[in-house]
Amino acid sequence: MISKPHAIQVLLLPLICAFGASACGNYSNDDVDFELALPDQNDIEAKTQLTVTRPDSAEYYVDTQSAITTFNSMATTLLGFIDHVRGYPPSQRNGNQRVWGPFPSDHYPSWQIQVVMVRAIVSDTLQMAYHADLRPVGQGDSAWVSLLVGSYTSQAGAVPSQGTVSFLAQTVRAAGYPIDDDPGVVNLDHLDVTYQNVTYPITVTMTIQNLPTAQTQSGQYNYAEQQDGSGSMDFTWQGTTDTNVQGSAEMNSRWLGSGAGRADLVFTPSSSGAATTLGTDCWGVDTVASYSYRLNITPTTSPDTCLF
Amino acid sequence: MSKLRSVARAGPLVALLFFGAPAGAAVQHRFALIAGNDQGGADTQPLRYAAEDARKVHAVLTQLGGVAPTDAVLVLNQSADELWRALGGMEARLAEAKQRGERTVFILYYSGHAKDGDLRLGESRIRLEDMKARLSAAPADIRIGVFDSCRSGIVNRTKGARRAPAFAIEAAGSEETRGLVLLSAASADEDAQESDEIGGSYFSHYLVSGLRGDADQSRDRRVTLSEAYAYAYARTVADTAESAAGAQHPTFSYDLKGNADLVLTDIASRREGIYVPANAPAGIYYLVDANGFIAAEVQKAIDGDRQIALPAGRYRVRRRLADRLRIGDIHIATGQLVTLDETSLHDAAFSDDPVKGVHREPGAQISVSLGGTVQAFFDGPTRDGLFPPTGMVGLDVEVRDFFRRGWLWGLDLAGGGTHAQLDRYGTLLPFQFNELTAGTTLAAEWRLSQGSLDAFTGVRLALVVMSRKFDERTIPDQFFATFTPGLVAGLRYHLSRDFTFLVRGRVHYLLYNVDEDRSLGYWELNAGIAYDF
Repeated sequence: MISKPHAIQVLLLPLICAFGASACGNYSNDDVDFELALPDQNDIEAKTQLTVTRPDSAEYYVDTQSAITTFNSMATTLLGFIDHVRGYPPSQRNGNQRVWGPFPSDHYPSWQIQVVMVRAIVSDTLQMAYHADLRPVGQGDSAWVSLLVGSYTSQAGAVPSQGTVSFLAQTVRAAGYPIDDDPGVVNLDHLDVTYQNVTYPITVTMTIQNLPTAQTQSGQYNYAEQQDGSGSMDFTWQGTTDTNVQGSAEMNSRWLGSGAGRADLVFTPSSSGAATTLGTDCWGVDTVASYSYRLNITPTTSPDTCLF
Repeated sequence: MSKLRSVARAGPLVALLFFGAPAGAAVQHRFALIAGNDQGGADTQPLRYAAEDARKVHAVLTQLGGVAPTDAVLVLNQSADELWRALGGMEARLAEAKQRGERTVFILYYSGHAKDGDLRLGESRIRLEDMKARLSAAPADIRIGVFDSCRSGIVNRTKGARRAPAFAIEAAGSEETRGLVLLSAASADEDAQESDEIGGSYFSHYLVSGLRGDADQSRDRRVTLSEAYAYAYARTVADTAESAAGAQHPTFSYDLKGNADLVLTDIASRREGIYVPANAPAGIYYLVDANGFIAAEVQKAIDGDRQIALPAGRYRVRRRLADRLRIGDIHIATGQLVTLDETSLHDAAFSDDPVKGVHREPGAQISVSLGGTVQAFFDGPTRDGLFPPTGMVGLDVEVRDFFRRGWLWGLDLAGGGTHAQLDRYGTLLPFQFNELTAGTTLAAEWRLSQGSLDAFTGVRLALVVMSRKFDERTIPDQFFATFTPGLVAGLRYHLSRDFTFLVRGRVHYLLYNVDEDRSLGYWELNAGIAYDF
């Protein structure tokens, strides 16, 4: 990433550039459109009302928190690649196109990064398409490969937006970029995110497609957030279990604005297609299970204690 | 010297002319028309003190010269038509007084530009010969014309002007004096010079200072016309001898019937001022007013005393020695004659000279102002969504007459901001807008009516740095910096000698080139209070 300028640079820069040129700066209304088109952590982040865990917290509550942490971690990784754009003026302004870079990659100086954004206004709706590209230093324009591809649509209101962004790990891996140095993406083929915060419920969907060699072949997170703080997170994984059974595991977790919630784990073997509920946990605001069900184990409390 | 000796020297008619008359003699009624104009129109540089000199002459004549305030007309920075109109009014009043059987004295004083035989009053002109003819024909027993202007000696040319230190009006007989006296500040080929140190023209300054008592050579507490002229002549020549323009020689001419000198001011009649006793050290005493300008001077001889009539107020007395100054403060209360006590003065370094501007380069004047500015762009969309209207506070430093007389050069710094919002396709984005400007101005300045109002217009180049910070934190801070050329015009109203109220209007061009190349314009309205150093 590029380091932020010091305060003294911020003060001196306008003076230096004004004396060096007739006019200079990044004061632009158009640039605002481009800046707004980029998703930030708030757009993609999943949030729960309860964030603490304790030794006696419900197991599925802990699993939900873990899934949300993973989800947000992947979102952070994704957004890190477009931080080159956020906070810096474009290198080129060509009408409805802005280009940032090429910048040298901080981690891999032999590679360059550039971000290209194209704006279109359709029926008073602002639409953006962007891609973040990589290429080895010294290569021509044809060597650019996209690591990120995204789009954005803005509706009237207070910065609401909806968009998509895809992280194309396998594409840059094939081009020679050492993306596998990050252990979190070793098995990743690509990751697609769709988000919208125009109306409630705010939704973020993250679809993960791993390489064929991975034990877990694909996964999907569906996050929803209501205005009162209640929400849900469904995460589904396709793959092979430790006992070598092919199928999908789906955990459906939802909670109230108070944080109390419920999660159900369902496994569907590919062979039969018959879903089996493996377990259910309900928890209160203390995160401790008020009801817990596991396959073949008799619950000690009544499911009536569950809020859902 | 006793009053009797003075009368014996100057003639018995002195008493008749000024201080009343014996039985059967007519009462003398004095009128004065005093004009001053700093502007001389095209191809002349504005004068700094012409109007001020006129004020001083008006003050001394109404305080000490026997001219009732209702009989004195002060015409400042007015056109030739206005002066002619004032002169016509004065002539009518003189005629009325004559019809009443009064003996009349009419004093016409003019301070301002003169060139090529014309008195210059702004863009209007009066032929000096025409003014002289009108004065000669005025229905007064005695007409006195005083012209403090460049080459004003031309007024005396046809009568055989004399560049002489003094003239004498012999006292003989009892015939009442009638006729015309003309005084000029400079000869026909000389410039009349001003001085920032004394805050006026040399000639008028010494004329006023002499009339306040320092010209009282006879020490009878009365200053006659010949005494005043002799004093002003000597001091003017002496003080201008070393100047770049060369020595300035006042001239005189007169055409009088009757033999008597004319008493112009009666110091004894107004026991208000300062008395320098005979035992005070000899030398030149400067009496500096509260504004730092020399109100009067005293040329103290070894064995003589001096009485100077001054209005009530606080004054600083300064006497210059070879290696130091002697300085002291005096307060003249109303109706009080204060005797100067040498022991009340103290030694001071030359750097503590109380005379304002004594170490200043001639003509250069610095003022500092604090004020507020409102700025807005002409283009509506630009004003609404890019650079919002902004209020700023700022500091201005101006130097007048630095590059040339009548020009001012200014440096200004201002900063401010406002809260606004940007509408992008229905999305409202609030932001804090800040602006910093630094500019330099070069303008021509000239004085308008009554000497209290100046106008100026010129060019300005400003460095403008504008920035905004959005409430939406994902949008980075933005800035734009550029140089913008513009025009400036304004008015300066003199609240007092030191303070002025300023109003400036500016129009600037700004090239905006971030999203696209756009030529924009903005205006600024600035108002402030300036202090003149």
